[in-house]
Amino acid sequence: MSNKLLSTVLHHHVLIRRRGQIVSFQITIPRDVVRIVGIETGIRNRYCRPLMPWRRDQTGGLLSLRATGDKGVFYSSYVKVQTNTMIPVDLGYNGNGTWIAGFGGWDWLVVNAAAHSGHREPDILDITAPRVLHGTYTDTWGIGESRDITYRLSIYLWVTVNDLYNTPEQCMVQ
Amino acid sequence: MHGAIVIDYIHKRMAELGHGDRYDLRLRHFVLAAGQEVKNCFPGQLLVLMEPVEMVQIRSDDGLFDLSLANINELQYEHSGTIVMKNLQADKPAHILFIQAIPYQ
Repeated sequence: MSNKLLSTVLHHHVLIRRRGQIVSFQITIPRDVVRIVGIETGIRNRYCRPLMPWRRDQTGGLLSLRATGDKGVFYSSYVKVQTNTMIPVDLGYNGNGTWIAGFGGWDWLVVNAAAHSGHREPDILDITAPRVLHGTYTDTWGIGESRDITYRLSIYLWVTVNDLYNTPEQCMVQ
Repeated sequence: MHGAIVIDYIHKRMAELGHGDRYDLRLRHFVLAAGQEVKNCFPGQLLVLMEPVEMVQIRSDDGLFDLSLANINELQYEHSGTIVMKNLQADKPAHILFIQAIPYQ
């Protein structure tokens, strides 16, 4: 038995199928989670190419989260679509026909390495963990594209776990 | 939804929110003219829809109630804060019944 606070990440995903779809969902928080310290959201664009002449930053939709036992929204933010498309400027093309980073443009090794180098940080929450989170997601990406886009919204909750709960006796109670 | 269920729900919900039985209840009956949209602010208060209403859209931070929508998987009966009510009918008025819970503090 150990009495210590550990950190881990909970993952939940929501499937969107139609344009403008409004999806309500619940995330059950395990009993040993005592605090939610951060949240990270994202939508992976399945339709991108590794290298394109242009890139558009797209917004997926509005995500709102509420906690049981509390009124109002504790997190509300637009979710960005993660586009791993590279444009020539990212690879050192300076716009007048020359490349400044020491490699040519359509180098697939460099393109694939750079496409996986995105850096993200969680949003700080620091709230007491409720039993259930109620979420609402409103799609705006499909409306902007004027078509039904099927994609998954991923929600990663950074949580603190009280390991005291994870004794054999407590596990039997749960 | 039966009125008794709404009263029971409000009683438990207000206790859950920490108000106990320290709140007032009001029955609100809104009448919206054809195509009218009204915005009301109920800070810290709870409004629970008494019965499903057709051809009416109710929006708040808590969610959305609109029986005419096909792309939504859950409708919200409980609203608070700024509530926007819209009559989607162009030719006749709409009636919306709420039970309103107003906490003392």
